[in-house]
Amino acid sequence: MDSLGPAQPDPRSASSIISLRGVTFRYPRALAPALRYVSLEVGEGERMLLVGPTGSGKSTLLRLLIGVVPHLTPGDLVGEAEVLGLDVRTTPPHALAARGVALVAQDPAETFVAERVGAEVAFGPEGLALPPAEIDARAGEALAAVGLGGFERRRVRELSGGEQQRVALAAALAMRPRLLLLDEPTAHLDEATARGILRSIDAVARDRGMSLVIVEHRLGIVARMATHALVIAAGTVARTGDPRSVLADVRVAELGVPVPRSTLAATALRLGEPVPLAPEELAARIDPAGAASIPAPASRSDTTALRFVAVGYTYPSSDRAAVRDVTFTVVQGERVALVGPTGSGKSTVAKLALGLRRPDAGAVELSGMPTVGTPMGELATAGGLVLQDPVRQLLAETVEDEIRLGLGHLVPSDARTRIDDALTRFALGDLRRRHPLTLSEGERRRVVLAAAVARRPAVLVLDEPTLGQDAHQRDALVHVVVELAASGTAVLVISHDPEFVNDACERVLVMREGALAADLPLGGDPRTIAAVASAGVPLADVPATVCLMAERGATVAARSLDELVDRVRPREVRS
Amino acid sequence: MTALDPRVQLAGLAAVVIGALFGGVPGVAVAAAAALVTVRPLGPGRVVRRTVVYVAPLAAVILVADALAGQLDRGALTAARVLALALVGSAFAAVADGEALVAALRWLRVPYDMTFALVAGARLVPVAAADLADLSDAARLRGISIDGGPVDRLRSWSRLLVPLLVVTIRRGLRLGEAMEARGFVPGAGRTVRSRLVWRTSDTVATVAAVAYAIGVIAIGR
Repeated sequence: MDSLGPAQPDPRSASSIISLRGVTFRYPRALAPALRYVSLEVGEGERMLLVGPTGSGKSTLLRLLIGVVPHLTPGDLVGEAEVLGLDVRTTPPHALAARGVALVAQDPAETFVAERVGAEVAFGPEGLALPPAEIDARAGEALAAVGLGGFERRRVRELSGGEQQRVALAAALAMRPRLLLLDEPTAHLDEATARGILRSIDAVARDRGMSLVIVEHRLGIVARMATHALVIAAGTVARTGDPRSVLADVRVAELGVPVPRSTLAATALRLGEPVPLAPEELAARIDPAGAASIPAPASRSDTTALRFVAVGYTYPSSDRAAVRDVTFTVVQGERVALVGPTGSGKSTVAKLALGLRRPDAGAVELSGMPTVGTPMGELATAGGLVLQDPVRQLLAETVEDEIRLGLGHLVPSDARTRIDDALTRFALGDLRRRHPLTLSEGERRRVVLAAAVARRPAVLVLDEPTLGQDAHQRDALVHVVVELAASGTAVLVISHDPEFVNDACERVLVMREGALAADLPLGGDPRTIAAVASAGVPLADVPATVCLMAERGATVAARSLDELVDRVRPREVRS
Repeated sequence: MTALDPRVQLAGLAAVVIGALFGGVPGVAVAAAAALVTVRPLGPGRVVRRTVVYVAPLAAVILVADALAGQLDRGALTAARVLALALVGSAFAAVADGEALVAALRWLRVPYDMTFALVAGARLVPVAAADLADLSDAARLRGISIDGGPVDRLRSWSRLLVPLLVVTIRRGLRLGEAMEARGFVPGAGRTVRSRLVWRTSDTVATVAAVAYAIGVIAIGR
């Protein structure tokens, strides 16, 4: 694609931590290169934000910087690639790690090698054959730096998601890196935990003068800690520069980069420099454009799709209740978000809702069928589930068979019609004969969604559906959810993504420690938003802006970006 | 048990297994008791329940087969032995410290790569079980019965094997990449942080374990 701006930075090789010149990389058998003529420089102590749509080459670039590409994942590498002055082409990952390059991955649970925190953090330094006393010192220091002092003997699998990510960060810091690579380190975390992790990363990087390359979708937070941003699209560098100005470039949003709504609103309102990145920066610079009109709540169907009555559940392998005394009802066509910290019981509620687990106490009714006593085959006709990892749901040998798999209860002609509809709706027609496991991650997600939607379930559960999705894919998913609900399906969304929850849902259930802590409508008026915020639900940028404006007496009602832009104007600054 | 040196833990495990295999009813009883004492701090109910659920069908088959062959006593002992050994294995897995075990095995001159593979493999078992649970949930929600009769079950579970294999291989590759990116080089010299400290209690426990094993074998002869 054409460059959007100053794509080639000035060489600063004297203090370069990373120096890439004209790097092109192609995976074996790939039609197009994953990276094309990429040139970039990162100096000592610089913190680079790497953004781009899904499949743009961000992960390949990170894997190149740690040497996984081309040493463990071979392919054709052309151009000059130096990290810490070492030629990546001839320096394997372990040698780069020994010299001071460390990587923190998206899902720490997938990369843990040890059972206990202390051993996990010590694994890297042990590989450097350091004396045990120094390994102990490094491990202790690294754990203290991430706020996990005293956790050495804890088992990693018993920690919360946020604590696990801190362990992964400590493990990287124990190698005393000069360059820290972070691949969406907060993707699996709730908003509050993610903010804490990112603050820790920022503090440690500044304190130690480390260089950072961070891929992250919470751009409103990360852009403020980055010294510069680089946009990559279709494998090429599309834009570089100051993070605020990069994100304010409308062409960057058009690529599918999840630019903060605060920034998009500021751009639409022509607020000028400095471009706001977060609601607090936006709210301070806008005023209502007229009297606030509070929209009336939408009318709902009165047919129950899902009912929980005083439901309790404890896993056989646990002594602690995963769900306690949960009561709620979801009607046909409703779009409900299920939010709460990691481990609060959201996934268990989803499994109970679909009959995959039977309650120990209380009752669950799915489309009028009690989940206790109704055969799973019957419940399966009424419920659908899309997990965050599509690979764990793909069971057939072709895309078409994958969709057909759940339609065994239909006569063949009806099944055929639904398969064709699903293939068309999710743009899978050309892939119908392909094995689902040979598809890209995005295509696999579409297959899983198509298979679930084709069954026309009364209740569809989406578990973290926006993980790894860019802004365009997220918008498409919102569209699917709204369309499904309009056709009568009740959609239950488990998500840590406040923007998706705001766009796709009309009600929020808040889980905390296995109990239902709040059941609230989502809306655009300040009072509704304040109630949601006080229940501890992280707000999307637009509702957060409305809430912050209301706190200073400026009342406006808006839920979407368009509504906000229509109803506010730049604030007049009196000298 | 966790207070003991990991080398002693391994010796104790070996002694109890020898007892269960060659010590008749008393040996089986000692093994079961040792397992229960070991997991007592964790709450034995969970470990026992899980082990019995998985192993009881095998034990029942053995018992019935021997009973039909007119050897009920032998069947009962073998079934009890299988249960006791499974309990011992579960108890050891529940309390053993992987890092300490690696140190102990290295002391026994077992190559690091092998000990690490053993510990990492054991760690991946519950992860693979969780993957399989997700896959079976996905199948059940598509109307595929994974219960039913033995033939239906076999057919349904076989459908899950390929995706499970793919998920496990993918996980293994990611783990391998992550290890190399953290400086791991197969076969290269490493330091092991865990230090082995031998106490008087370890000597006493080792002597007891060795004496027990020798006694069982001697009486068995």
